[in-house]
Amino acid sequence: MTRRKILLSAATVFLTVGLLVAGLWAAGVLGQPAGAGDDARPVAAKHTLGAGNRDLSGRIQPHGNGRPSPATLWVDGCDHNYVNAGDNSNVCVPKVAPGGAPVNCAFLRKSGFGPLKVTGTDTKNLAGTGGTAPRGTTVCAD
Amino acid sequence: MTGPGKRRRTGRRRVLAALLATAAVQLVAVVVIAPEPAKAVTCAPEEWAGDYFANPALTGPPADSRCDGTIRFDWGETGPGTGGIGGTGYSVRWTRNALFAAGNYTFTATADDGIRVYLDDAPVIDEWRDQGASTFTATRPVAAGTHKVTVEYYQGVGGGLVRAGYSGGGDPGPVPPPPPGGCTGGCQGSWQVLPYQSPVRSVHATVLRTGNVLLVAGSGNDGAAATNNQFVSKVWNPTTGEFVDVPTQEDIFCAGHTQLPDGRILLAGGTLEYPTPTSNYKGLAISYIFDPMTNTYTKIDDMPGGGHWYPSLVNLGDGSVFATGGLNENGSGNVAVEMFDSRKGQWKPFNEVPQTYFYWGLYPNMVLMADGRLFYAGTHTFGNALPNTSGSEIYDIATGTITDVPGLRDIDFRDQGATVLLPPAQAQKVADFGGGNTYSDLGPTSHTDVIDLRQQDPQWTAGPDLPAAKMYVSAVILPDGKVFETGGAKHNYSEYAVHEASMYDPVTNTLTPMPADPLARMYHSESFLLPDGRVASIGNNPATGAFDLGISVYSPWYMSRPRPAITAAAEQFDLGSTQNLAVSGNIGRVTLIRPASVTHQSDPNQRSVDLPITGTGPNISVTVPSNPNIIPAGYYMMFAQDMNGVPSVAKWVHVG
Repeated sequence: MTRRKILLSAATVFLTVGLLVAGLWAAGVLGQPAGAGDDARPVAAKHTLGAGNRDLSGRIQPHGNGRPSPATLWVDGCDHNYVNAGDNSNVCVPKVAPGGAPVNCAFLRKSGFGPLKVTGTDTKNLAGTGGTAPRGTTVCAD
Repeated sequence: MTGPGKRRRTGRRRVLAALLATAAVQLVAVVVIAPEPAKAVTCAPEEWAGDYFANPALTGPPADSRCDGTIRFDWGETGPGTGGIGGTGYSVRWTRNALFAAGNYTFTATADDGIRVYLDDAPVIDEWRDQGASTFTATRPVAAGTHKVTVEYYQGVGGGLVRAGYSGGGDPGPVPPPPPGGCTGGCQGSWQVLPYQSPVRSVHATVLRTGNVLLVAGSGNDGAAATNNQFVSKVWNPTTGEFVDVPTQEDIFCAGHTQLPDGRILLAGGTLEYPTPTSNYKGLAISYIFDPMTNTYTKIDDMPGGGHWYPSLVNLGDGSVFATGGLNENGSGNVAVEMFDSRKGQWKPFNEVPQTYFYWGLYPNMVLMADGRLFYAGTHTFGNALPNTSGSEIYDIATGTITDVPGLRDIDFRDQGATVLLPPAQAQKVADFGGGNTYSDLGPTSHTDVIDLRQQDPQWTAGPDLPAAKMYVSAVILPDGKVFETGGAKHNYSEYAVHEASMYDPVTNTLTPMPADPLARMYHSESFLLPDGRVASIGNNPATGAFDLGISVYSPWYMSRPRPAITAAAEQFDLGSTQNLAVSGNIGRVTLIRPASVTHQSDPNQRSVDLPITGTGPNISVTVPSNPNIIPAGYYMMFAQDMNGVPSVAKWVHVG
C-alpha cells in the first residue's frame, strides 16, 4: 500500500467517523450541547392504571412533544352539518341520542327542534327513508 | 542603547503604559460605574429570594437581588439580564422559608452548569461542576414545620439553564372545628324566579367585589352574533335588578376567568371560529382584564401558548394565575400551560413555564392544594378521561410531574359534573357530584366521590349518591358550611331536565333533599353565592339552540332567621395577621368565601377558609392563615356565623 493510499484511507476513516458522530449528535443520541434545554424538559409520569373507555371518543393522548393533542371532530357531541332553518343559528343535532334512539326527525321534533337546514352532509339522513338531502335543503319541516 | 534595541524598549514601555492606562480606566470604571451592592429583598412566602452574583463562586456582595416565583430559567448565552451580569461566569443563590407538612419530599434540579440544593442548610443535591443540562432528584423525609430551602447555581461558559423545585411543602394547618349550630326545623328554604330576565346569555358569571355580577355572553353560542361581531357583557346589580352594558370588543365566549389579587378579573381565551361541517370550535389566545370599579375591559397580551377555547384558570399562592386546557386556534387540544404574572400584568414567556405537554381537556376542574400542587378532580366539559389514566391526577407545577390519583368512579361519566373544595379549605377535601358523557347514549351518574388531600397518597372514596343521576351540576359553598348542589339534566333536552337539589354536609358526608329550581338548568348554566347569602342560578342552553334568560334565586333556611352582623373590620387582611372584628350576635365561626367566577358549572377557585376565633361577645379576633395556598390573594366575602348556625351578610375584605 502506498503512502498516498494510506493517507486516503485514513482520511476516509476520519471523514466517516466524523459524519457518524455528527449524525448521532444531530439525532440527539449523544446528547445536546450545553445550553440546549429541550431534552431536560420534565415529562409526565408514566401512568400505570387502566385505560378509560376508548369507545367514547373525546380526549386523545397528546403527542408528548409539544404538538397539540388531536381532537375529535365536534368535541361538543353535536353533528354540525345542520343549523336552524329559520335564522341559521347553530343547534346541537346530537351524534347519538339518549338510550340509543335513532337521531331522526321524530326524535328531533320531540326534543324541541324546529326545521333544520343542511349546511354540509346530511349524515343523519333527515331527508327521509334511505335518502340524504343536498346542502341547503330544509329538513324536518313537518 | 541605540537602534533596534532602543526602539523595542520604547515599544515595550508604550505597551506597558497602554496596559496601565487601560487598567486605570477599568479601575475607575469599576469604582465609578459598578452598581451598588444589592439590597436584601423581602419576598412573599411562596417566592424565592434570589441573590445574583457576577462571579461563578457566589462570592462577594450580589450584583442584584430579586424575588422569583419559580426557579425555571433558560438563560442561554444572554444571562439573567439583571445586575449587569453577562451570559457567562455568574452564580445565583435562592432561598425560601416554607411551611411543610410531614412526609417524604422529592427535590428536583436541572442545571447547566453546577447546582446544589440544601434543606435547612444540609445538602440534598450537590452537583457543583461544569456539565451540560442534567437533571437530579433526591427524596428526603421532612418533619412538619417551617424549613429553609436553598438552591445554588453557577454558570460557567456556554448556555445557562436552571430549574429547581420540590414536591410538597405548605402546611394546611389544623382542621377547624365543625360549624356551630345548624338548622333544626323549617330547613328547606325557597326559590324565587325573578320578575325580570337577564338581557344577556349568561354563559360566564363572576361576582365582583362591588357585590355586582359580571355576566358575559360574548357571542353567547350564537354563530350569527359572532359573524356580526355582536359581543355582549353586562354588569348585574342583584339588589336593584339593574344591568349596565359593558362594551365588548372580541368574542370572549368560552374564555376562562378568575379574580386577580387586586380584585380585577382576568379573562383569557375565547372563540375564534364556530364549528362547521368539517371543523371544530377554534380558540382565541386573547386576554382581557375587567375593572369592576369602572366596568370596562382592557386588552392585554395574548397567551403565548396559543388559542384556548374552554381553558381553566387557577389562582396560585404566589399571586400568579395558571391556565391550561381547551382547543387551540386550529381546533386541536392545546397542551400548553400558561402562567399569568399578576404583578407585571402579563403572561410569562412560554419557556419560563413548566411544560409537560399533557392534555388536560376542556375546562378541567383543577384545585389548588395546600402545598401548591394542582389537583385535577376528573370533572370537565365534554369528552371523557384521558386514555391510560385513572381520570384524576395531581400536577406538580414546580417539577412538572403528574401523578395518578386512583379511586374515582365513572371516570368517563364526569363530563359537567361538579367539583368543589369542601369547606373549610384547611380540611383539604374535594367532592365530585355527578356527571355524564355527551358522546354516549347512556345516562349520567348519581355518584358522589370524596377525597382527602391531606393524606400522603390520597384516594377517592364513595360518598352518598345524589337523589338523581345528572350532569350539568352546580355546587355552591354556603356561609353556614354546607354545599348546595342544584340544577342539571340527564341529557341536554328539556324533557330530560332534572329538577332536583340537595344540601351536602361535609361534616356528616350526607345529602339532604332541598327544593328544586323551578327553571331547567342544563348546558351553559351557572349558580353562585350572592353576598347576602342567597344563591343565584342563571343560564340554560338546550340542544335546540334556545337560551333561557330566566334568573332564579334560592334563599336557604337562614335567610328567614335573625341574622348576626359584622359591624366593623379592617379592609385589608394580611396573611398570618390577627384581625379585630366588631360583631353582633353570639359568633361561633368566621369564614372567608372567595367570590364565584364560574362557567359551565366550573369554578376551580371556589373556596371557603375558616378564620380561628378568639374572644366572645361584640369584639372578637380572628387569625388569617399564613399559607397563601390556602387563601390565594384577592377580595373575599367574610361571614360571621352565630352559635345557631345563622350567618351574617358578607363584609368584603382584601386578603394578601
